[in-house]
Amino acid sequence: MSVPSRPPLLEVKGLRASYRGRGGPLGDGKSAILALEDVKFCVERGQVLGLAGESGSGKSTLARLLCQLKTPDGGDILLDGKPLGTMSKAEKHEYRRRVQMVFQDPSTTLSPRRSIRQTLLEPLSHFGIGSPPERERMAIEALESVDLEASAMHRLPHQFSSGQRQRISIARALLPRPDLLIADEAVSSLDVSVQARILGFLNRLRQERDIAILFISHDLAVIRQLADNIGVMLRGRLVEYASADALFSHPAHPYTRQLLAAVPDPDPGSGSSPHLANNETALGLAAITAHRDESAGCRFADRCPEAMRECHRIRPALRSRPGSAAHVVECHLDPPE
Amino acid sequence: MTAALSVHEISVSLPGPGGLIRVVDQVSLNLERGEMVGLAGESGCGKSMLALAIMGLLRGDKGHVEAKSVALGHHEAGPSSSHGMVDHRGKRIAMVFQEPTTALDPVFTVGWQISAVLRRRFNLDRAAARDRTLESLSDIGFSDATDVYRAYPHQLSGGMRQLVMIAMATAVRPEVLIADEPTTALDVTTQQQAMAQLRALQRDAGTAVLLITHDIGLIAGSCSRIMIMYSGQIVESARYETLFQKPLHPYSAGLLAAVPRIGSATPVNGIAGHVAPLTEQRVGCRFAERCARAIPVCRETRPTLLDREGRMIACHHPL
Repeated sequence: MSVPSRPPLLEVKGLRASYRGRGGPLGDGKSAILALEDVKFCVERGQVLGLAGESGSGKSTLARLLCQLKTPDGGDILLDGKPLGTMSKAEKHEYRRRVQMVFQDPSTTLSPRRSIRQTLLEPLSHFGIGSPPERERMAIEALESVDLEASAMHRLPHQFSSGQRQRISIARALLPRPDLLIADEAVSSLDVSVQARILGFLNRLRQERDIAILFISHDLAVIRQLADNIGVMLRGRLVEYASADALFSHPAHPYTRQLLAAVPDPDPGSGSSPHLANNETALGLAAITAHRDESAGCRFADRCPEAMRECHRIRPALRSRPGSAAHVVECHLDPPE
Repeated sequence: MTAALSVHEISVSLPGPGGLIRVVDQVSLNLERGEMVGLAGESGCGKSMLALAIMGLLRGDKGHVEAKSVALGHHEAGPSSSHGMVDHRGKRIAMVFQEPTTALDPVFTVGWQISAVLRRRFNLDRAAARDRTLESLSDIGFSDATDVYRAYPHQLSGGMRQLVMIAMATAVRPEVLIADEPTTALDVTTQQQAMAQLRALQRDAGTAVLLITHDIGLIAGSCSRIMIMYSGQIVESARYETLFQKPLHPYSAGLLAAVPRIGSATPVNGIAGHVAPLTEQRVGCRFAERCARAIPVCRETRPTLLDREGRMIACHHPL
């Protein structure tokens, strides 16, 4: 079947970004910290791409670049095949309408001094959507779509629980009718019961409105609830990318396997953490304390239980796994010989 | 053997619009030496209030605490005793707070803050306190403990600050540690590290740990017993395996069903409705309006915590 191929909704090509270095006892005084390095992926319409990785892996930097809150050092972001870099001012305005973001902490997202009504009407007037009475109606519909009552319009953020505030943030993000929703740790601060309801809501949203979601989380069990495809990020690089099924059935990168092992499971018979007691100290902490080195080898080599000499010297390339072109991994150990 | 911590019928009341509101209602618990017990429930169930009340940190207008007894080993340290917990905090009992940003003082280095506790409580001199602080920082996994020692809280990431809080608690090797959502702000790999550290403390120093969390997955990996709290009351208390295999209280079952599992893509379900504000006085079971199994008696009489099949449960119509 050969249909003239339509460009994907969002394409990210060779994206690079850096931050200025920090001082203080923990800073190395160097000028720049590379936060993203050669990241590329696509998101199709109505699809959910999950991005996993621990703090400092560059997930939030990526979200900021996609929302035009930060300028990349290199590479391109394409919406419907058109590079962001070549867009006119009007086109960038339209891009902002089509790509909306839900942030991690709902208590800092919503202005404490503005009523929910003010917060919800602003994106509509900013993007010139609807007449004033229509906007009012759309705002109420948006609230109802996230299971809140119209009376919420005239209340202030502090009068809501954190789960309700997060749903208000989602309602706000949906009002400009975006094609892509970026959810950066949108459920991680919520308790499990509220989290489950927000996840169910996002799932329904994707089905009903054909909206694409870039879902960023450190917790692969949460990502699994939504994602069609999953990318795993490590210190600024996308080290594994696969369909959700492939990633969970055949995780190829040792880092992905560590992330999977780190998710606590409620089943006492599942062999979770206490049985790992001997080797678990080898995980986590290197990432927190290690300074970002620009060494030539694999970014994971210093924490990898299986690292070979080659891993410390040569940066592995992103390659397809044998027999599945869509499952790519950046590791010298894969495929196992 | 005397329990490391035994709490008998502790209640907390806070001033509200129509008089005092009871946010923790006659909760009793026992922690044995070297035991880790999980306390789970949604936000707003009174878990943190219970912890603060046990620590004796609710005084004056912050809340009114009543208890038949709060004992650390043989020492009565409840609100009716003369000194309460004052002499024991930071020595025999310690707490890891949920929010490390507000729990650490921004104007002192983290090393100074940890050693201050050691100098005050154990009469260590400056050098000895510093050594012990560095030791606990490196135990928890900081490879550059001296750098962390000299850092101010704002120079550390949220995850590092939380690990510093845990290092502060482990440095004093308390008999009892109350950890209130110690890993909620952490990502999964750091969480694993923090939990390993709490388990090491429990194992090596025989510390009894009360782990407060909404994430039942965390309890599964570490705790032998679990208590489920709803709206100020313990509604179920059992060995963890028993509860996981067959929760009796509908609320326990709801919490378990809400946890996303790494091994399955089956959608999780939240519990319908939300925790009713405690300002609403109700007769009957406080969970009744969210409960699919509620029968008329649930709305009329408050169930009491009773022994059933070797576990404690407060429900008229259990699963």
